[in-house]
Amino acid sequence: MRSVWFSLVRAPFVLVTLLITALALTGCTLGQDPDGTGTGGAGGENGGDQATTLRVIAGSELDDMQPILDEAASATGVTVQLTPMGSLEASELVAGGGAAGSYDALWISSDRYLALTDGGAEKVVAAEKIMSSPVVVGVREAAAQRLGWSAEKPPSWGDIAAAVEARKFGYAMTNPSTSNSGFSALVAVASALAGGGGALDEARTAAVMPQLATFFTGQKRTSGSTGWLTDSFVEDESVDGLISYESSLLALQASGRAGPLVLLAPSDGVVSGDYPFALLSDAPAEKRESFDRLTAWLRTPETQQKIMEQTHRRPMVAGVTLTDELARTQVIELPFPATRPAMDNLLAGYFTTARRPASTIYVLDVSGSMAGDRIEALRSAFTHLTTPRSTGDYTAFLPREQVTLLPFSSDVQTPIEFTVPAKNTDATLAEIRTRVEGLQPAGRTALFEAMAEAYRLAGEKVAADPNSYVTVVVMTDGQANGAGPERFTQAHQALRGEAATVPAFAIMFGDSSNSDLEAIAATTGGRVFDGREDLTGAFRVIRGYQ
Amino acid sequence: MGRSARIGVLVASLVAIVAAVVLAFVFAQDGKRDPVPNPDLVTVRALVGSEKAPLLHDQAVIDALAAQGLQLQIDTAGSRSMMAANPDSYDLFFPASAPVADQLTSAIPGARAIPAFQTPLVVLTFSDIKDVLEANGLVSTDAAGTPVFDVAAYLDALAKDTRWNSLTDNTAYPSSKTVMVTTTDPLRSNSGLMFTALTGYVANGGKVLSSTAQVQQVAPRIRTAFVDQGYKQSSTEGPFEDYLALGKQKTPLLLAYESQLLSRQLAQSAAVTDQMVALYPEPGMFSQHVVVARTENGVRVGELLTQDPALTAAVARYGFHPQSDPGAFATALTETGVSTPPAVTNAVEPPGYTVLDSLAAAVSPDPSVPVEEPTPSTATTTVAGGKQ
Repeated sequence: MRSVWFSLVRAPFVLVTLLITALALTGCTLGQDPDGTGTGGAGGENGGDQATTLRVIAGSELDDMQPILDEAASATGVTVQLTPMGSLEASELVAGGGAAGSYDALWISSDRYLALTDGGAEKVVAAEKIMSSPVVVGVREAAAQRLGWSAEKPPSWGDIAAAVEARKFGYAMTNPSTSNSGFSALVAVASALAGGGGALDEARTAAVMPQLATFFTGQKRTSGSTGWLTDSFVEDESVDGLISYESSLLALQASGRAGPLVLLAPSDGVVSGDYPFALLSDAPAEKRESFDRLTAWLRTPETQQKIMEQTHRRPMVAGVTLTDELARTQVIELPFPATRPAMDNLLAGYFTTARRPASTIYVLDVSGSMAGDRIEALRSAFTHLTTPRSTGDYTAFLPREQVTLLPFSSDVQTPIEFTVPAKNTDATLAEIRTRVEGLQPAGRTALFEAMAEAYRLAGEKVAADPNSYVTVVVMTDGQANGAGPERFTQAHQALRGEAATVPAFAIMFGDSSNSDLEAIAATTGGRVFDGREDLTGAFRVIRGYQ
Repeated sequence: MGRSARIGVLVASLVAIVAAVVLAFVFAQDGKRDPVPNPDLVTVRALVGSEKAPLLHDQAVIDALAAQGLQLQIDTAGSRSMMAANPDSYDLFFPASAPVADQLTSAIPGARAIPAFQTPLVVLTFSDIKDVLEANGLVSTDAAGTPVFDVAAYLDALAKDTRWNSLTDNTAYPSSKTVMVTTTDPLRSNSGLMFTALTGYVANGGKVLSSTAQVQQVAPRIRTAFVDQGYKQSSTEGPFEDYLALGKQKTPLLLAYESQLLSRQLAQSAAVTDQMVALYPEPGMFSQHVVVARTENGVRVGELLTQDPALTAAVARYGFHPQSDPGAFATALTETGVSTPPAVTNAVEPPGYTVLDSLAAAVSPDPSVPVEEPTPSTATTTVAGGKQ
């Protein structure tokens, strides 16, 4: 039962919510899908409107909770449907009212993102913290021994930065604008390098940028998704460490895929997720009982024990004894920024100043089959990439970034190179847009010749500026009908040094051959994205990997 | 673009203001929600601080009220929201501090204040950290053996940006973090608000703040204690749960109510370990729970809460000190063998509501928070009454 007062008071909120939604629809994007798989609403699924079904927006890392949730279904009769989404994207969706009617609950790493998003705080009627996992540094055992680091005697973030500066340590870390583990790591390292005192504000963030830039010269791999980053870390042994959730790293450790790892919680502190399971105010009233039953079950000591053993997360209910693998690590929690502007400010600093500037070679198919809607779709994608948006969305080209266009059809055209300046980026962005608008489709599809040329260019880029983060994006709408794949694989095999590790992200489009693209991704340690339904979306998601 | 951006900012700040005063995350502890109201009972509508939801949902409370033909229907809200709510919607208000109760009593025609129970503010920590703080002059042990947290020394330590690893003899918490007490957000939660009053009193030279001008004077000295914490939770149960489950990792020092730890001890919860220690601040301060009754039914509930033995016993079991029935508190302790907490004799009064509210705004990291403009609010709805 809800009181009359409650519904009366809600009326103005509905108006505000509508306004916010309208603004969001006209001006803003909602961030990216962390896995590039499309978010696919749970709303229409069978049983979504039953009182015993909870439709939950969840952090993508929570897919490892499925066995526990299956058990919950038989124990409590409550079925949970998880829809993966990034923390910031999910918070904006909920705060803007966009989750109403489709979702009943939000289950992401922390309540902070929603509480700090305008309109978010009142969208939750009840929440229960379920479990905790800090973002820590997993280091290959050999590297840890070489550097004298151990779980019992972990380095500080400053020690890690010093090892990076001495070129003795390189690591992989997810993109902090699309992944919570990346953002948590960014907050921790920035707070620690800023001196570990109070929470980050504008002044502290500005002051720590030079040290942060040094730290991030060691970032050898980035990604919008933890899964790809982990695979990439497993395959490329030149990367010494992986910054991720303790739970993910312990799962990787247990799998044996990456060999023995040493988990380090830096001595000056980390940022953890505590996974509040939050019932949304827009959820139908009859879901409340299911929420209570499910969360009570999840918080029983028996379930907490299972969560700890199966997913390597720390219990949020006192009285459950930690497993040895968790007890080994002493965790100290650093403060989190107090306001959304402070968060945005830190992210902006990372992208425009601290991170390694991206250098991307766009291999673009302008063969005859691209004529019409397809070339228009490509132009739209580049309009997106060349249009800066509101804070929190870093999918447009950024200051300091290098963009190389490499169009191909029957032949590989001359590369067109741009460097976005540190300030006043508009003219350069407009020029990139104009050049893409001027592309005219004609001819055949010399895909592998173009890829060979792209990696020749990649080698040049790496040599010219070792601090630039070079990647290749290839978009094609048809089957290669020039040289065969060996043209590219041979050229790739000849590469040496960092150029050999440059990943290529391939976009399926039109009638492209999946096997051609899979071959390119496999050769380069890259990944295939599906742009057939939404080409702009594919280009945007790949921004998280650049 | 320019115009829609301005509208966007306007709407965003509106929402931010609303969000700031609304209770965001109610951490349900009791698992009893939305029972069916009993048509044979008179429903009494109450707007209460969230910390009392578990007590008011307790079956003993429901039964005792039902025996008198009453059932409570409660909404929860922080003090700012409570001030802004429509008084006609409720039979009674039940804030967690005297200034808010006073303000409500004078603002609502015919309202009657019935002081019900109280609990002192404490700083929760762990015994080895207590020893470190004692070795460094932040904690002392008084003649009765009570560990006393020196608020003035704490503010001095903060002003010097004292780090845990700069304290002598500290092996208990070797962290480079600032020595800082975790609080809730003073704009959204009463316990955080009370700590602004306590630190404000000390920064004002040991005098109760009496004007917003004085607030501006003391703000620079106490602001760090709140702003440098960064993100603060909005419900007192949130960080207390962190303290119980994660311990020193997140909350080496936590501003809390004595009742929070005590109620867990009285319930013989496995979550409480003998390492957990409540420090009593010098000066002390009470969180006063006062029923502000607007209607006759509101008065009846207020009187029952202070006079009905079953109700005062329930109040005591939740770790509160019933004001009209101290014996109930002693009985609850005796029955469970929990040792008697120290008598707080050094308590000072919080300032009046207007000053308190401006204190909360003065220590907010968000410059857009209005200093004296309570705004409309909402709250979660729960119903108590009838069979569970």
